[in-house]
Amino acid sequence: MVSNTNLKIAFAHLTSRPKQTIIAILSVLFGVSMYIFMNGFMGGVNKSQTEMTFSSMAHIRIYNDVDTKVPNLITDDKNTVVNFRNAKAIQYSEGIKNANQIINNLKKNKQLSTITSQINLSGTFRNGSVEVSGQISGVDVVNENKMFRIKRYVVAGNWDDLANSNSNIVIGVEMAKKLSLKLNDLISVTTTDDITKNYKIVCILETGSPSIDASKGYIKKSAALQLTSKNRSYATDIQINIPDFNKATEVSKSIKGINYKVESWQQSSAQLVAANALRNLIAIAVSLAILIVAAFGIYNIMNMTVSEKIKEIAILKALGFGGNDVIQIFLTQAIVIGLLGGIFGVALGYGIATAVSNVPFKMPGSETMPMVFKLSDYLTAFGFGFLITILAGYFPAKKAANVDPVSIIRG
Amino acid sequence: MENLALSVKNISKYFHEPKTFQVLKDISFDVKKGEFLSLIGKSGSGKSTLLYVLSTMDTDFAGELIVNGVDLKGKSQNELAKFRNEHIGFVFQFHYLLPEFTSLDNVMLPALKLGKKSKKEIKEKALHNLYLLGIKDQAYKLTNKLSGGQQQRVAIARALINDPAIIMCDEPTGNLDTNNTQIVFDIFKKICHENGQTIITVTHDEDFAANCDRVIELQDGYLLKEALV
Repeated sequence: MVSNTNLKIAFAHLTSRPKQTIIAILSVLFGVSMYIFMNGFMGGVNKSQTEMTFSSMAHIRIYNDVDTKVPNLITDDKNTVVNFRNAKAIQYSEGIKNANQIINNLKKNKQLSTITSQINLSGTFRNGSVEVSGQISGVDVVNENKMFRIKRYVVAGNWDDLANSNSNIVIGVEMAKKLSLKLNDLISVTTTDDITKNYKIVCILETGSPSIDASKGYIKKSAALQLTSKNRSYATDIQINIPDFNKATEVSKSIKGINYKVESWQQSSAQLVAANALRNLIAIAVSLAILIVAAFGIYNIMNMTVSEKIKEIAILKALGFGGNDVIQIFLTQAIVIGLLGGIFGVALGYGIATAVSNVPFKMPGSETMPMVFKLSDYLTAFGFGFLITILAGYFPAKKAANVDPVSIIRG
Repeated sequence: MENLALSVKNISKYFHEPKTFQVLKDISFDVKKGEFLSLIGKSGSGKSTLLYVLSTMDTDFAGELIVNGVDLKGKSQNELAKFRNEHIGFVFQFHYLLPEFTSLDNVMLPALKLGKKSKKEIKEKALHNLYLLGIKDQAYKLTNKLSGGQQQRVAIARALINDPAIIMCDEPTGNLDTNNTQIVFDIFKKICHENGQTIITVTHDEDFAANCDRVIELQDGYLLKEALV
C-alpha cells in the first residue's frame, strides 16, 4: 500500500542524516533496554525476596488449631435459656494423628506440587552453660529439601547426612555462633517435656531468615517421634506447596474433608501479602516511569526529525504529494527506527541483564545479583518501543501533513 | 472557453495577521493556452499572493478559479495535490530541490507520484528533459553539489516532467546572473511556443517581463493594467 516513491523518500531521509537517525534509534534502544533490565532486576529482587519468604514457610499449612467455638451441648429449644459461665476452649487432641493417611489423600490432588509433614516442638539448645531457646523440627529429609530447597543454604556439611542417623541434627549459622559450635560438634537439646538428648551437627545453614538461622534445629522425623513418644503417623504440621503461590488461598479452600485447619500463607501472614503487593506496585511504578520517559524522548526526536524536514514537506506538497503521502513517509521512518531500536534494544537489554546477573553480590542462596529473564518482559519492551515510536512518529507526521506549503515556500 | 488555460473571476483575499488587510481586490482575467504571461508589480502589490492562489496551494480566498477547465473551488487538499501533480508545474525563486536526491531523482519524483508511466519511461523522459536544459551531465549528482543556475534548470526539468498544462514560476530568475537568466528565458519561450504549455511567472525583472507575450501588473491588490507585448 505504501508507494515505492514514498518508501524511497523515507529511506533517503533516513540515510541522508545518519547521525540523526542513529540518535533516534538510540533513544528507542535505551528505552527498550532499560525497561528490560529494570524489569529483570526487580523481578529478580522480588523472586529472591519470595524465595526467602518461602524458605521456611509453605504455601499452605495444615495443623491442629485450638477450637474456640463453644459447642451447643444442651438444647435447641427456644424456650430454654442457656447460660455458660467462664466458657473455656479445650483442646481434645494434639497434632495430627493420621498424617500419613491425609498425605496419601492429598497426593491425589493434582493442584498440589509438594507435600511434606513435620513434627514441630519448642525446645532449648544448649552447649555447656550457654543456651538458646527455639524450634525443633522433625522433618522428612528428602521432601523438606524438595519443598524449601534447603540445600541452597548449606554453608557447611551435607543436608542429606541428616537421614543417616536419628542422632544427627542440622542447625542455623547464628545458633552455631552463639553456642560456639562447629560441624561434627555435639549439641544438647531439651524439649518442653524435659526430655534431653545429644545430637551431632552434620550440617549448618544460612538462610538469611533469623527464625531459622538463630533458632531452628532440624532432626529426622523418626528422631522427633522418639522425643514425643507418638505413633508413626503423627505430625504437627502438613506443609503443602503449589505451583503458583499467589493461588494458595483458592487452593486451600478446595482442600476438603480434613478435620484440621487448612491455612494459606496469605491467611497466616498478612504483612507478607502487603509487602508482596507493595513490591509489585513499585515494580509497576518504576517500569511505567521508564516507559513514559522513553516515550517522551522518542516523541521529541521524531518531532525534531519532522521539523527539520518541513521545507521538503512543503516542496513535496507543492509537487502534488498529498497529506497521506507525507504521513506514509514519516511513518515508514518511524517503523524502521522502531524496529531497529527495538531489536537492538532487546539485545542490549539482554546483554546488560546478563552482565549484571554475573556481578558478585553476597546474599543467602546466591552469590550474584538477582535477575530474571522473562520472555514476556522482552516482548512487552519490544512491542512497547515499537508502538511508541510509531505513535511518536504519527503525531508529528499528521502535523506535517497539514502544513500549508505556501507559508513555508514564501518564507 | 476551450482554449483557456486558466480563468479567474472576482478573486479577493484577506490577510488576518497582524491585522485584517485586503491583499487581492476583485481580480479577474483569463489566460490562453500557450501564453507566456508575466505578473509584475512592486513589493507588497499582491503578485506572489495571486500566484499562490492560482497555484491551488493557497485556498483561503473568495472568487472563482478554473484551471484547465476544472473548477477548483471547494476541493479538498488531497484532491488539489493530485490536481497539481498532474496539471501544474512549479519553479520557485530558490530552486527548492530535495537535497538527498540526485538531479535525476528530483526530476523523476512528480512523475513517479503520478504513476501513469513505467519507471523506465519516466527515467528516459527525465534524462531527455535534463538534456534539453543542457545539464544531462549533472543527472547523477546530488543537487546540493550543483551551481545555482544548474539547480534552477533541474527545477525547470522537474516542473516539465508530467507535461503540465501550466507552469507557474515565482521569480525564476531572481537568483541568476544575466547569462543564466537568458538561458531560462529561452527555455520558457520554447516551452510555450513549441509545446503549447502555458507559463505564468512572477518577476521583478523588467527586461524579462518586456519579452513575454503578455504582462499583468498589480498595484495595491488591484489589477492595474494589461499590456500585450
